[in-house]
Formats: sequence, structure tokens, C-alpha cells
Amino acid sequence: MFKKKIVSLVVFLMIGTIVLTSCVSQVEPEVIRETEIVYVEGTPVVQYVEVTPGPKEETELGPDDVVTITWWGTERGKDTAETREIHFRLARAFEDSHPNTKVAVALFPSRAFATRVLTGIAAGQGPDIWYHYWSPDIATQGFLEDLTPYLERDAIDPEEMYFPIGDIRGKYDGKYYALPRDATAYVFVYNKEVFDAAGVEYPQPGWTIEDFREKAIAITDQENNVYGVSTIDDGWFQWHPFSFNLGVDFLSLDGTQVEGYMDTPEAINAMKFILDLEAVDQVAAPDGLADQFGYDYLSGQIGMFGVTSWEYLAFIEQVDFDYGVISPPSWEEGEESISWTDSYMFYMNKDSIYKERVWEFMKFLTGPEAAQIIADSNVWTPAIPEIWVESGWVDDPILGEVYAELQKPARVLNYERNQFYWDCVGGVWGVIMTGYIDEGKTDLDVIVPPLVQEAQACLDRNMASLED
Amino acid sequence: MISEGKDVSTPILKEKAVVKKVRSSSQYQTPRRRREAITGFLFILPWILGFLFFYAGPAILSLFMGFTKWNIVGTPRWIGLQNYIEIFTIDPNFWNSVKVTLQYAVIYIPMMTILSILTAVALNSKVKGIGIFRTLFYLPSIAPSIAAALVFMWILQPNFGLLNVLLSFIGIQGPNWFKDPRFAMWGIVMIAMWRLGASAVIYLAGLQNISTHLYDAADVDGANGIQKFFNVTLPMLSPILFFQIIVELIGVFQTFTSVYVVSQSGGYAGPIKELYFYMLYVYVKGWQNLQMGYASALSWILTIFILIITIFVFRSSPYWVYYESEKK
Amino acid sequence: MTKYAHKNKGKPLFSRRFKSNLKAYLVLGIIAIFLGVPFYWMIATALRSPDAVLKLPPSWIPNPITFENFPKVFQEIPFARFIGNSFYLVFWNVIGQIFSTTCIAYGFSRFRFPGRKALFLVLLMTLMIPNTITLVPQFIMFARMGLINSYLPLILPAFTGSPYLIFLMRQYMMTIPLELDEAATLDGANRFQILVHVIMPLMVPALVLVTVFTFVEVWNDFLRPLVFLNDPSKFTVSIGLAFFQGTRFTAWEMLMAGSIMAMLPPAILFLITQKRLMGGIAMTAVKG
Repeated sequence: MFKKKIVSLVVFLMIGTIVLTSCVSQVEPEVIRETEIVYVEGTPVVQYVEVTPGPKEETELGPDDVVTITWWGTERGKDTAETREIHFRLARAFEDSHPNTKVAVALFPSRAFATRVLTGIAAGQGPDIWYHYWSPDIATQGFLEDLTPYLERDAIDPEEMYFPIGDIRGKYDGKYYALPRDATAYVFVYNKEVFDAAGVEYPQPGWTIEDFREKAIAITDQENNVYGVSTIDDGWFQWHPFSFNLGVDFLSLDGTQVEGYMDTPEAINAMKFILDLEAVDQVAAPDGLADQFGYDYLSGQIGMFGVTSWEYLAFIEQVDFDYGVISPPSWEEGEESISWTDSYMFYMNKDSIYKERVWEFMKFLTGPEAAQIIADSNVWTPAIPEIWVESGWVDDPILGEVYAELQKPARVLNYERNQFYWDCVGGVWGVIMTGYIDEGKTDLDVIVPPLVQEAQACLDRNMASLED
Repeated sequence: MISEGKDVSTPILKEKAVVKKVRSSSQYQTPRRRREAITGFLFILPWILGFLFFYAGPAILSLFMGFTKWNIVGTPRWIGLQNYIEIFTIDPNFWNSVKVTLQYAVIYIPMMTILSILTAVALNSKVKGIGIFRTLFYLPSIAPSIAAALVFMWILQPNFGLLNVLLSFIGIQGPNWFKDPRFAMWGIVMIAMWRLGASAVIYLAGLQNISTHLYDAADVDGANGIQKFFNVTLPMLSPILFFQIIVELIGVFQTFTSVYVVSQSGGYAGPIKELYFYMLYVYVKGWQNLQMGYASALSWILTIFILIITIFVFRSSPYWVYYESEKK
Repeated sequence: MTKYAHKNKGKPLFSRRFKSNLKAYLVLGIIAIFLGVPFYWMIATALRSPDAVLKLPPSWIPNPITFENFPKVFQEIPFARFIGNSFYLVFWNVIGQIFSTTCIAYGFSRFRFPGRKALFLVLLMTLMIPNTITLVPQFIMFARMGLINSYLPLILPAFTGSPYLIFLMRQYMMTIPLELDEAATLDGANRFQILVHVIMPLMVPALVLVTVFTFVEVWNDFLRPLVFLNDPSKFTVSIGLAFFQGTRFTAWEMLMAGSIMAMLPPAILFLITQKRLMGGIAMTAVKG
């Protein structure tokens, strides 16, 4: 009767669901649906192109067979339209010169991007090429393609082609696992009006850390809310030229050792110097000015601050005071300061099917033609020195100084040397800092070594787990 | 279809009473009972299927992962109990995370329960425009959790944040909330309390379910407001309280988003130990260090722990959860 | 709204009701202020222009006030499409949850079968396993079925019931007296008819709760749509908002403007339905 009908209908639906959902065979989509440009008031928004995939094995591929490779990137938080546009432009420029390959571009939020990539790779559905900022030893995880054979075969020498940072940033154990997307360096900018108001001489090339400190003290005028430097936070030991220019390097160059580097008397001296800028000299802007708007120096109330080419555009557009640019100060008189440089890197998926095609795209993206497109777009600053010269950036006050910094011998940034840095070492700075400034725990000789020891033990433990 | 003449205003029936009634008043025979069982199964069939597929499968896999070394992108390698041994003996962060998370839970559960019940009582008023108030109080629960955490980081900003500015008006120098080990957790508590609307709404629905003749009877006995609250409101609310406490218990140990946002302030700063909640630790181990096997072991320890506590609460329920039907 | 007998017995004097109303408004107002402060900051930030001059100490009222951020959100990212996608997902999830949770809660609350208590505990256990850990196995499973980059991984689970909502529905169902079931059985109804004609009409508040909670959860879900979708045209509102956060820069004014707009649909839904929510199950049966 009615009940029986209902019951049998329900059972039928359930069986149908079981059959449908227990389908575990690999289902290959017939058509890859990717993005196409749709213009909304002149701004490219989304992009769709329907492309048929090629044969399963690369060896079956003929030179005229069209395949699609995937390229994943991230949004930058601002200028989202320009960011999308540069990706599409690069992809289309490549397709014009390589008609046998289509590039499907997808841009994700930068939050959880690594999660997205790794999850995709875990299931065999990762991107063919993407960019990120892992430390070089991520290569030990085994999902990156070794690019060295490709580079050798096509006679490309990254050391010659790119700024020093673009070369070493992707190298692990002598092999190349990544190539640079861009290159930037940190330069100091000083607010001429603040210096004039205090009657202090501008920083001169060849200035030292002591000069820096003296000038900061001289220009600080707390009552009028004028400060010598930006807020002091644990970033000063990491994403700041002082991470190299205080006479020490806090980690070994290969990122495996922290003991013997971060706990030496020189290192502790260096820490005291920075922390005293806040605790004793009181030249730093109070915490929080930057939080709401991103760039505290735009307020015009800070005397000296740092700018990289990543912030360059925003700075140029919004600055309303007279400024000068100078290389970071050095530790010793007469020495050149060590530059703080960085690059985002392109990685190739080891599980890619059409590796040759992906390599062609990688070559394109890290080559001069793409670099010119990138330079024209003002979204990133490419890693190839010649393009900087051709674009006339060498004569620009800020970019010219950045260029000079980029030419110097490079070091990988200390927090980008070890994939376990954030787990083991990163938090130590916060502990030291909060203790020193907020709680008056200034006997660093006693406080720091145990913390560093613990960090080293943590690093050793994690690195040991990498061994099979 | 509501039967006339029956007093159906008693809200809650205990399970055993239901079963007894079925057996006594309907005199079902055994084949009927079997059909009842089958029909019952059919009604929960979609869930069984879904559970097997979407939860059991991945859950069992994750349990298995706890005994392996797995970096997400490679193949897992069996290492037996090594993860668990390391967690309990060598790992300094594990015990710290347990302590921090327990501290938070001990503060959160009572505070959330009390505050949301009080808020629900306030929202139970019959004043005009109460709907607007209810929506306003529920609104924080709708706010995207990342945005909410960011907003609170600004409000609790030591120099310009609203809270410290207000405190300075009454002469208190507010601490550096999220960077001060003594107060960091309270910042997280504040973010959580801001979102008490969802919990209050559930209690509100429960309050509305309490029939007024009980209050009238209490008035006749001469009870005042507080006595009415403890002798009428709370007992009648206890089944909902039971539900909500269990749900909150399960959730509080998994607190993640606000802690994640706060500890990563200023770019990509490492975690402050006082904010190193358990789920943040799981995240760092799994997704940053690519030690997913270890992270899986950690999360199963958490799961078992929550399960034990939940069973405790279940077992204790006859002592404090009041089902109206017991009177009968 | 039903008029319950007022707490203050006797003739409601103007002054007494006025006093207690005032008390209520006062308490509600104070709580509202506390809860509303973060929203004030969100709104103030959304009304700020990105190159507003920054001075110490920062101003509480933005000067100048600008509304340009709200339309800009739609220009910077395909926000309208994201909203449409989110609505699509929400629609199917709500239907799925209502359908499945009523059936399943009915089974758990009204039937006896072996292992019922154990199964219920297992149901609760699924809430105890963190999301981030089951994510990769789930992903691999859906990838094997070729369902990545489709909405199915985000919709199918709704048709099998969310454990939390099943728990909720079961608790509410257990407040509905069995006598109603029995009366219907005597009238010749089968189990399914009882569910549809007797139980569900009395469950309206619970159904509203399911709808609102599902809406909010799906609307704000970030990680699952991010992981299961490749095609940016399929992204949801929560992913779209995350576009305003880069690694080195956050477009605060856009993020806040977008978040405020994103909060409107669930808020409107709640405002509309909150009365039905407060109906109370016993209301329809109260006598005197």
C-alpha cells in the first residue's frame, strides 16, 4: 500500500545513491574548462577557454598536439584586477609563441594557497607550475621537479641570467628546484622634512649602524609625534636588512644551525642594539600605526623606514613628503652593507604529465620576454638585471638603489633557510622581545642560550625525521 | 491533528518513557517490532551512507595516518607507534598545547553558558523591537571568523585599540593584549564571547518552550525572580543545556581560526607559546612542517579525549538533566 | 505574537510595565553596545578611502567618509558571481539538510532498533574529528571520482545530514509528545505520514534553526570550497573576501566593505525568520 510504495521508493533512491557514489574508477573529464576574459568596465574579470586535453603519456605527444597545462597563482590583496591581468597576459603571450600549449590560469587567495597546492598534488590533481616562497630545502619533500637537467640541456645558467638572489633561492644541494618570478631588495628611505625640522644631516652613503642610531635619536620628537624609525617588532631580526648587518647572521647559511649563531655574545649584542632602540633610545613609532593602513611611514611622522620594490608603487602614489633613498647602513666603517633581497619562486610539479611543455612555459616565465611584460605591468619587478636597465629603472631614485642592492652577493633570508623555521625558531624572537621590552628582562646572556638550545633541538628533531 | 482534551503542554519526554508507552499502550507484536526496526533503519539510511562515505572513510584513513610518516604529497610509510611515543615523551609543545587549551576550555565553557543563558533571558522580553535586538545579537555569529579576529586585533591593540583607550579613561593602563602571556588568552575569550549569539538563540528557543503555568504556579507559591530562575527556568532548560554543553565541549577544544589569525599577526610571525592552542599545533605540524602523520596522531588523541569527556557528561546527565515526563 | 500572562500579576499599571520595559531596554542596550563595537570599526573602516591621511592618534570617525569601497568590491573581484555561487550552494545545502536531518532525527528519536544508542554516539564522534585532518583523504576520494572542481563535494554531504543538526533535530523531536504519534496511528497513518503530517508542522522552529545555521555555515565556509574548486568562476563569497588579503598587504577597506555586504543575506534571513524561530513547540498546544 502507500507505506510499501514509500519504503520501496526510499530504498530505490538509497541503492541508486550507493551505486553512484561507489564509483571509484578514475573519471577523466572530457573537456578542461578554464578561464576566459570577461570585461567589466574595462577590467578583465574571469576567463574561460575550453580546451581538449591531449594523450595520457608525454611520449605519445606529437609536436602539434595541443595540450593544456595549469598555472596557479595568488592574489596580492590589492589591485586584484591588475594582478589577474598580468597572469592572463603572460599566459596568452606564451600561447602566441607556442601554439601547441594552452595555459589554464587560476588565481587563489594567498591564505591557504600552500594547502590548496599540496592537497591537489596529494591526489594527483596539482598544478603543473605555480609560485610560492618556500625555503630551498622543501625539495627534500620530493614533490618538485629537478630543473637542473633542463637548464643544462637548454644552456641556461641562472647565475648569469638572474640577480644573485634569483639564483641561490632555488638551489638545494647543488641542484635547481625553483626559478625566480621576481626579485626585490630592501632600501632605506628617509623623510627629508623630518630631518630638516630636526636640523640633522641626511644619511650619507657608507653610513654605519651607529650613525643610524644617532640620527634616529636626533630626529625623534615624541611630543610632536615624530619618530626616528618604524615600530620595532620581531621582524627587525628577520625581514629587515639588520638581520644581516648587525655583525652576525642568526642562522647558519644552510639553515640547519641556530646554536652557535643566535646565542653568541655578538648575536646577543646585536639583539640588545635593536631592542634598546625601543627600550632605551625610544626612537620607534608605537605599535599599531601600521596595522590599520599598512604603511606607517605614509603618515609623514617617521624619519627612516624601509621600502622594497614590492611596496614601491604604493609608496610612489601616496607619498606626500620630500624623501631620499640610501642603502642600508653597514656594521663596520668602510664596509659595504649586506643586502636584504628576496624572490618568489616558480616550482614545477614532479607529477606533471607534459613536463617538456611545462618547462617551455617555465623558461618563458623566467626569461627576458616575460620579464619585459612584467616590468611594463608594474606588478612585480623581474629577476633579470638587463630588463631593469632597459626599463630605465636604474635611474629611478628608489628602484636604482634597489638595483644596486640586488647586484651585491646575496644570502637567502634567515627565515627562509629551513622549512622548520616557523615551528622551531620564529617564536623565539617574540619571547625575547616581549620579555625585554615589556617585562624588563634584559639579561639576555641568561635568557637567550636556553631558548636557542631548545630551538636547535626542535630543528634537529624535525630534520632527523626527514631521513628515511 | 492535535488530540482534543489531552494536555500536550508538557514539553519533554524521556526516552525510556517513550519506549514504555509504546509497549504498553499499543501492544506491538514481534514482527511489528522488527518492521519498526527496519523502518527506523531506513530513515537513518542516508546518514549511514553519508557517514560511511564522507566521514568514516576519511576518519579511518586519518586514524591509519597516525601510525605513518606522511608528508601529504608522498606515500605514507608505516612507523607504528612512533608518533604517539614521540608525542607523549619527547615533544615539548604537546603538553604545553594541552595545558593552554584546557585552560581556555575551563574558562570558556562556564562563561559562555552563563552569559548566553543570561542573554537569552534578556532576549526573551516582550518589548517592542525585540526582533531587532535578537538579530543584532546574532549578527556576530554570522560575521566571517577571519574578519572578526582581525577586527578584534585592532580593538585590543595596546596603543590605539578601543578597549585600552576606554580603560585609560578610567585610569587603567591596558596591557598589550595578544602579546602579553597573561592576557593573550583573554583576548581569544573576548572574541569567542562576542559570538555568543548563536548559543543564546538556542537557549532562547528553549526558554520559549517553557509553559507559563509553571511560572504561575511558582508565583502562587510566593517565589521571587531568582527562585523562579533556579527552580523553574534552569530545570526546564536542562535538556537544551545538555545539548549545548556537549556541542560547546566538542567545539572548544578545536578552537582554531581566531588563534591562527592572532598568532600570525605582522606577516608570518611564529606562534606565541601562550596562544599555541592544540589545533594550531596540529596545523603547524601537518600543513607547515608537512608532518601529516604526526598531526593525524595528535588529532586522534584529541578526538579520544573529547569522546571521554562527552561520555562523562552523558553519564552524569541523569543527575542534572530534568525531563518533564519523569513526573508521570 | 502570543500574549503570555505578564510576569507581574494583577492589573498592568502603566508605571510598572514602563519600568520593566525600561529595564529591559537598558540591559539590551548595554549588551548591544558591547556587541556592536566591532561592527562600528568594520563600518568605519569600510567608509575610509584607501589613501586617507594617517595621523597619530588615528581618528575614530573617518574623514572624509566615502562610500566608494562598496561598488569597488564588485569591480575588483567578480563579487556578484561569487554571491550567486554562494546562494546556489546554500540553496542545495538547505534542501539537503532539511530532508536528511528530519528523516534521520525521526529514525533516532522514534524508532527502536539495535545499536541505536551506539550509533548516536558514533554520530557525535564525527564532530570530534577535526576538519583539517579529514580534508586530504576526503579530497583524494573525491578526486578519484572525478568530482573535483564541481559543486558535488560541497552539496552531497548535506543530503546525508550534518551531525550537529541531526542532534539538534532529535532533541527537539523528543519534546513532541508520543501521544500525537499514537493518535495518528489510530487514525490509520503510517510512519512516514506521521513524520510529514504530525511531527514536521510542530518542528517549524527547529526547521528554521536548521535553515539559518546551514545558511550561515555554508555561506562562511572558506576551506572546503577553496580546496574542492579549481575554476575561479565557481568560487564563493568567502573565497572572494580572502582575495583582499595578500601575504604582505591587506586591503582593509575593501575587506571590511565586502564582509559587511557578505553579512547582509544571512542577517536578513535571520531577521525574517526569527519570529518563527521563537514560536515554541508547545505554543500550538497550550491551553490557558
